[in-house]
Amino acid sequence: MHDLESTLRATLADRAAEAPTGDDLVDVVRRRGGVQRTRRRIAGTAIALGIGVAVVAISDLNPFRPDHDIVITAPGRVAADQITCGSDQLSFDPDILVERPPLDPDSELGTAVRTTARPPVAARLIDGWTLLDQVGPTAHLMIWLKSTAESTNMAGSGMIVATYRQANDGTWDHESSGECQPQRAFDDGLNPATWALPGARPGPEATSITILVTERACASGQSSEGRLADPIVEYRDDAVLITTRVEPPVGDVFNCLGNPATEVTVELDEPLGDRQLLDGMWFPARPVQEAERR
Amino acid sequence: MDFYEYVVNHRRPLLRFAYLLTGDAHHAEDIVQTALLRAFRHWRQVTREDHPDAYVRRMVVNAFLDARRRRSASEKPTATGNMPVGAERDHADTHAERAAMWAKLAELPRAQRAVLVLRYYEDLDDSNIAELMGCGSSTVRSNAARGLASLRKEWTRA
Repeated sequence: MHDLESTLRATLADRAAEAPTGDDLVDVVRRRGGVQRTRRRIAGTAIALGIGVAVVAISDLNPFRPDHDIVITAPGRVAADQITCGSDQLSFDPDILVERPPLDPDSELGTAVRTTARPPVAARLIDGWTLLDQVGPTAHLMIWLKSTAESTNMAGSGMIVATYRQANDGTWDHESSGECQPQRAFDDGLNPATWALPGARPGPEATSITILVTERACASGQSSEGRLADPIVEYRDDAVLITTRVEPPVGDVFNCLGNPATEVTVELDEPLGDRQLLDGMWFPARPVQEAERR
Repeated sequence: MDFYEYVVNHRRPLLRFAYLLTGDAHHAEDIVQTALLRAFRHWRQVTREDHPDAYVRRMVVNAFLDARRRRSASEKPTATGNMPVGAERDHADTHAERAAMWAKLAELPRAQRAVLVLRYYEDLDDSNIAELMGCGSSTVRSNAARGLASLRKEWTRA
């Protein structure tokens, strides 16, 4: 008998020869990637022309929209040009929030979501569906809710993201769903964090701002002290965006008891002036709140 | 490097790697496709890396480990009987040994299997494996030790 490690090595080498060749992989990636890129380019032009309208449309969905007038501009370029619903598993073009391209109602999936694989959302509340992404047998859909008190109660953002799985016999099943609160996607492996002001808004002459950062991910209530990455600061004519990121805690399993806030001082390159302070984690960025009002 | 040029030149090694992780041809294609689409979206960033291929392999490993979280409770790892049968071997004992090894690999937790594939197929050292899997070297060593212990137990019995 051979030794274990040699046999393992030989087994892996043998089996590797049985791997698929992926001859159609180039075409698949080119087709799927190309479609997304083309759509992004076309939509990007439209967005550039009509950003004001688009922003109003998006901010109308924002449950944290303040009472006073706020101009929320397009997100900065620090993050990737994708957004998520709060999970790293799925990212997509922000233009989708405006375009809402409909799911083909005659497709197998389009039929299933209305008949055999309905989501846990009453049909009367659903305004439409969009296919966000599909890889193999897994599809991610956005469900757009009608603007009613009942749907707002269900999902303040008006959006629910649902995952569907296709079985070997071709049928689709609803796997999971939850509210989508759009956030900017980052590819840095760090956890998202929100922030608040510990007290009143700093004056216009302020060149440093003390903020309270709270990690969003489950971390068993650990402090993010020592794990905070340098905040990302973006300057706009009418706003200063601060985005906070946190190194994931060490370990595999965490509970979600809620994490304590960590105080950080952010140095600005220029005085704040009369610009708004926005939390850049969200898409669109949200006006920051004072800690006692959170 | 152009993205499509990368896919043309690297798809086969990536698929071999993914196949050893998953033990299933379709699943391997799925996770490589997922990783390549993610890489496509961030290609400029990927090519800024010193080793773009390592970056994409990290995406493959992440896609493989992420699938663990999406796996339904009723879904089981690929069973021995579903695995492709290897080519004829000259020696029946060798064939039996490797078949048993492959079957046992399919039963290991994904992190352990990933570590063993990276160590014994990709020939990476523990620090490179740790970097690729986004964990510490001690976690790599512990996963390797646990994986090897499980294999040894079955292999000795066989």
